[in-house]
Amino acid sequence: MYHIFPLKLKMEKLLILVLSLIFFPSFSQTQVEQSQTFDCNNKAFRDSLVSKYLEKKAHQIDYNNPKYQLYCDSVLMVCPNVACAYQQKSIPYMKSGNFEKGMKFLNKAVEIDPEKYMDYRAFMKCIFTKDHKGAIEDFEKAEKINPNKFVMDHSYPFFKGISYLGSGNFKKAEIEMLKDIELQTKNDTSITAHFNSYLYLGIVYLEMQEISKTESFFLKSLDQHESLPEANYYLAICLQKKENARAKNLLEKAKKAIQNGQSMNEDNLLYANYPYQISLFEINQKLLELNN
Amino acid sequence: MKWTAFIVFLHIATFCNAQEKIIILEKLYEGKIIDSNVTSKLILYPNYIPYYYSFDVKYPLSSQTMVKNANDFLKRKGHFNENGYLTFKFMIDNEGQMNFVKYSQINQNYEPKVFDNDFVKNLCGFLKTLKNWEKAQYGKNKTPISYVSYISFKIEDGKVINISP
Repeated sequence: MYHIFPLKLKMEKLLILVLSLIFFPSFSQTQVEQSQTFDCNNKAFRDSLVSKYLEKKAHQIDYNNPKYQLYCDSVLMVCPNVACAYQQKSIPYMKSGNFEKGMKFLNKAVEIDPEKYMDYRAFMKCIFTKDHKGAIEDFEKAEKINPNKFVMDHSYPFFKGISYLGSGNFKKAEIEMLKDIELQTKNDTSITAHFNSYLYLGIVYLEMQEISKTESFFLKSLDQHESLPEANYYLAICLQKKENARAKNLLEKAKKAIQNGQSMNEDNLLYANYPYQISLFEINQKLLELNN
Repeated sequence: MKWTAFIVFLHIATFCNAQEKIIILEKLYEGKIIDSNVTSKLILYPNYIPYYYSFDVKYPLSSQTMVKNANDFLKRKGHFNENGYLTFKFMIDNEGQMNFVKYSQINQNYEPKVFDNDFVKNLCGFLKTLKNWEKAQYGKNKTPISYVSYISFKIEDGKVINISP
């Protein structure tokens, strides 16, 4: 039973050898020479590698299966300039807290294709490594490359806003959050922005102690997602002094929502907490405080 | 069908003694060992590393509360002028107990660095105060499963300023 791991490693080495023999006429050639054998500058050829080893192989197995990395390496052995293979290699490391390796591969992807991966790295810094300064710098570079683009369902100003919020620069956070809402609504009052855009703007105003503005944004957020735990919780904090009963009611709603598995509905919540995300513990503490 | 295959796969779990578990765990995830304690409720699976995210089981406290608690704990231990990321990785066994803790250390640019040993021990001391790890389960019968989790502390001037995941 305990020989399974070493045996698996042998299998992996064998797979690399087999893939190499298929692709390369001589195993002793250097990687550069091998790359020249194939047209790695040809997008169609690179895409065929991505389809063969990533889409049809790596994507069909668990990230943590050692073969996953092997399939990515198979692409890079043929064409070391396939940015997405580096980005795919980074994913399991980033999701398991190995930021050293994860960022090493992600940096390589950005170096090869900044147009495609600069905003993704910025997002990873914002949500996974909580590197607010790094995230803002990357989003600024991404804005120059692709103005007004979105990543992971949100505009660049949304993530810049939460990075400024996380670093305590509330004024800049407000500016970015307002920009984010403007990008979504285009100043048309009949269009609503994402509920988390309103939630985070509300949190920014809460941090700035601008309570009147805070309430309206939490209410706008709740208009779209009435059981959003964070909007109910932070609205309760706004109301706790003047409307104790309503605040308690909002906290109960937040509690019930979390118990029912409701959340901010962001794709990466499984892997990392979002800034100002709450848990049952904080809700219960606040309820205890209001009941005393 | 997918779940059935997964459950059958998981059932080939490795039941072995502590020393045998340590041999497997040394290779299972990266880092320097800081606590090699393993319990009888830690079950290992050949060819499969179950991570926290497969079961939606992060530690049940918000990052803000964890940051505050960590800094309250560290305050009593003196000041260290440290910066970077200190990451602890471990397994949570079938009863929610922490097993086999490893750590890795990088600077703010994600490059290897070495933190003061006492600072590492202090932060590990805080980690050990976390006793409410979620128990992971799978399948219709809610069978308990051991899983790998991590906590990465982002440190600035000796203080915890953020926590992942």
